[in-house]
Amino acid sequence: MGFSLLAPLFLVGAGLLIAPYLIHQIRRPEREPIRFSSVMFIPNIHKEVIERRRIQHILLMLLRMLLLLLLAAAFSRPYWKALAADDSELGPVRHVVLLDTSYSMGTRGVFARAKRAARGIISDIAADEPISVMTFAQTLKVVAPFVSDTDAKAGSKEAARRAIDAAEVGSEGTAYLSVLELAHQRAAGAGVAKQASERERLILHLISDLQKSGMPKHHAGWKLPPSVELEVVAVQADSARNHAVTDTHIRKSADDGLRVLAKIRNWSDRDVEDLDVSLVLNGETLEQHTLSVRARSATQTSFRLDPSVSGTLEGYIQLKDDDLSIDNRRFFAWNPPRKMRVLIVAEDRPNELWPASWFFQQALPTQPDEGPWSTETIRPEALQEYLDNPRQRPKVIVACDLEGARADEMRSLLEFAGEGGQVLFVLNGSMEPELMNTVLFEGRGVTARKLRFSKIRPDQFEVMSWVDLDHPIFVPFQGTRFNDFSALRFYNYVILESGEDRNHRLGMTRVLARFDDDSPAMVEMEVGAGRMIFWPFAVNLEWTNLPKNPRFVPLLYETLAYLGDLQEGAVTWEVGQRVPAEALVVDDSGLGVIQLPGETGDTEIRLADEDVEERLVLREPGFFRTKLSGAADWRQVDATNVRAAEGDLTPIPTAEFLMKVTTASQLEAGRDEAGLVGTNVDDEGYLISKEYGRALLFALLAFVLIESWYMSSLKG
Amino acid sequence: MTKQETSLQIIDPEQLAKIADLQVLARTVVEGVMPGLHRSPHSGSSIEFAQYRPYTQGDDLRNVDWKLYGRTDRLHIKQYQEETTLRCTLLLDCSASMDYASAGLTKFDYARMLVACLAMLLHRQRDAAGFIAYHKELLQYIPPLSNALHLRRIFVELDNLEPQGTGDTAGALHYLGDVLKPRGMVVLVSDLLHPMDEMIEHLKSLRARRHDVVVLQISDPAEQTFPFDKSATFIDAESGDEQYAVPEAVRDNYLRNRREHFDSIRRECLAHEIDIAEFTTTEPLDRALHFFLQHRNHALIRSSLKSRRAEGGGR
Repeated sequence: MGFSLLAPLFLVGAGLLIAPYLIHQIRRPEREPIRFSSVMFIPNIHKEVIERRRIQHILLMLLRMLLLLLLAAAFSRPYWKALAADDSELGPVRHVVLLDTSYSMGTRGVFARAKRAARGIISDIAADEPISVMTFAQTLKVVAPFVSDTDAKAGSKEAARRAIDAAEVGSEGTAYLSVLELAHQRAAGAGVAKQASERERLILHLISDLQKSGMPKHHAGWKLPPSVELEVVAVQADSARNHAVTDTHIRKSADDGLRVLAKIRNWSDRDVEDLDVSLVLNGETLEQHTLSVRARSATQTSFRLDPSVSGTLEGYIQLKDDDLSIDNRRFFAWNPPRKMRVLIVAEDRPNELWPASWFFQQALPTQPDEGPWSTETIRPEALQEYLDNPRQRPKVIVACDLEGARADEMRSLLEFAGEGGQVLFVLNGSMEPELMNTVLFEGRGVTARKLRFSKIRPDQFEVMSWVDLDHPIFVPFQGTRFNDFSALRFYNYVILESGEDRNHRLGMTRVLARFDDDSPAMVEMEVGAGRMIFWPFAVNLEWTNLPKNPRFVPLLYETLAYLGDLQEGAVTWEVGQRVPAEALVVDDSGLGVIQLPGETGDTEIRLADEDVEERLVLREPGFFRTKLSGAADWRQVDATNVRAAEGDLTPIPTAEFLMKVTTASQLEAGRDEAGLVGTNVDDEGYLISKEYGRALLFALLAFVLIESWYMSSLKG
Repeated sequence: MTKQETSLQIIDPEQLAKIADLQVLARTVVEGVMPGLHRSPHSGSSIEFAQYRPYTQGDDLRNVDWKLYGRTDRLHIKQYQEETTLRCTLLLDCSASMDYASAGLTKFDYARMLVACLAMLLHRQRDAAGFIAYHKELLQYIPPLSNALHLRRIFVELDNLEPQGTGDTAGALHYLGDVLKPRGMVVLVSDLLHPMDEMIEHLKSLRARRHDVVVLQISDPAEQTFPFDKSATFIDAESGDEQYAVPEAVRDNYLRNRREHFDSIRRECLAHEIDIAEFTTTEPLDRALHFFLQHRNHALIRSSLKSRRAEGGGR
């Protein structure tokens, strides 16, 4: 341990220390005596003052010399180096053979060489030294654990060989750092470790193609502890050809049809000509393109689907085979948006030309193929009947015109929301604020007050001056051309008060928009498992011009889409990911049916099952389907693909790999052959524990400020 | 703007200094100053007629003898006895402190030009001009006379003077008191950078002997503002004493000390009817000459009034 310098040559700059001295000397002649007519008026300065000034000037000179010294020191980059481990203190050895089974190892001939290397390592290990075999890609799997029984150690080599023989290439990508950390933890936590002394050595034998893509670009800071030795065996294909489908997307085209976009990348150093790219949809090859992709670059192609194609789409893009075939197919899925049942609750007003319900009915078409919702308008009296009937129970209720809403109607809506329903509640002047406060808002941070204006006049209105553009409803309005709601005029509304800050949620309530007088213009309230959104203004032309404003329809659509969790398309998963429980479709008993890629038949899974986490890990590319137990059709189909970056077979140099994951003690032995250069290890192989260059630069800055202050004080 | 003010602005001391010949220089200045300045001190005709003299530019037309003009067709001015008796002695401080200049002219150069102009002015007015140059010793004494040869001598002596050594104004005044006849005029041209007590005593003494005393203090702009910005050691031009100073730190004290010194001189002078004025080396000479002429006229008025009182008392 001790201090050293990364760039000692910069210390030559310390020779500049002479500069302040010279400057102070050169400046002296400026202080040559001045012949003056008479000094009789110049006050005497005591000798002490002169002495003090002399000392001040010397201090100033020293300060400037210190500045230069700091500058030179900062550029020479001093650091504190960590000690290398002392071999004499090390004890018995345990071995872990880490075999890379990521899909890039499936490159022609690579995995066989890796197995041979593993067997060679196992053969070279002494008979009494325990061996464990682990395979890894994105996750780690112990295929041959340590054996604690001394007699069984001899047999552990054989078990290790069998594990190696049985190992197969998987579909996952590689994550070296997390796997090494996990491997170290597993090895350290194995039974043998408890019997071993604290000085016991652990040697990790890593057999991998050392893909660059497996190492994070930004170093996480974790390194193997000094007591762990890492021996790396790099097995790479000499010149592999690999092209891959790295991305697929489904986009709606202008004619309401769908387009499948595919990105084809050529990872190798040779151009690819006449590359056939096929679109396979629902098991049928629909279209084929022939592309040329230059070396180390990508190109995009698109397939147009017939507008008549409907329903759930499952397909993949297929390339012709090369040295690594697994990434030549990329799956995609598309789920049509599910129809959302919307119930419009409004009074029957035959005498009114444009009642509130009319605007909602016009904005939400009732035809089945006209939108993602099916709407029905009912009178308030029929609401309870609809809520009680599971077949008629809607996803969203729009209470747009309740004449003096009664307490039982409000309670019904509240109860509906509490059970997971969604409500858009439009207030009007006939509703009693006290009733709303008692039934709807009590304990929820919202209070209804009186009407804003006692009399409605066309020249008297408020505008909507603020909307929460971060809220999902307003995200589509974020563009500068769409985020101005000031054209909306509100000639009256119910004044609501909310206890939350302007931009922050408080408890269950969130203000989504405000009028110019700071009163909420839109409030979201969580009720149990559901939500209610309140518009404090009646949607008729007497109260607001919103219905005839172009923002009305998009605002209503976005509100209902938000309330109904409307989604279309599909999610693309990656092999190795664990499917989160919320992605499953489950019934009330937590039972859902999923079909994971690579598995045959349906698998019914309960979220409460013990092994649910293990079972929900995606192991193979393909389709990941979910549905309710007993349902006929799959509710959601998502695609699962291999990690695209894994197809990049560009290796990371062994030396760089070692520097990223090991410390000085592990590097010291092999540093010459590794030709270590770079960041965390010095020329002697020591770990750069802490570098002080930046700290010195900050100190330099501080001293410059001190010098400036000191200079100004001297002048004063 | 009057003609007099215009003439004050056109005489730049540095430009004047380029005229090597003091006589020419003095004539240049004086001829610029004369028009409109030379006003007769006489208020009546009771003063005894002395002689006629030819009219010169700047003379008051009221003093022209028009009858004589009618007879001779030439302009003549009537002169009276008192006018011709003004004897003015010019004292020039030649100490080393006068040899200081922050830029342009030294105080000595300025003072020398001033003295030359005064001498020329006196000569033009048919007054007698005397001259004393001194530093710690008396360098030159030329008694007051009013002929051209005498004036030329003063200019020659002025040309030959070099400022050096310490100044002893008190000693020069003391000497002047011994040699000067009463009721003359004494003009002291100095930077007054000396101990003041003894000098004031001798000035008072001159006043007591009915001399009109004028003190023209010459200063350099740097002395008035102490504009230095770097700390340095200042060396006294006369004594050679050294004084280290940080200008920013001592400027206020310096200016206060200087103001106190000159205020006390000024107070003493005014208390004893000694006229005193300060001139900066960047200032046009006209102002000094104007100041002098005004004072001379007042002196003549005083003199004539005393004379008349004395005559009236005798009847």
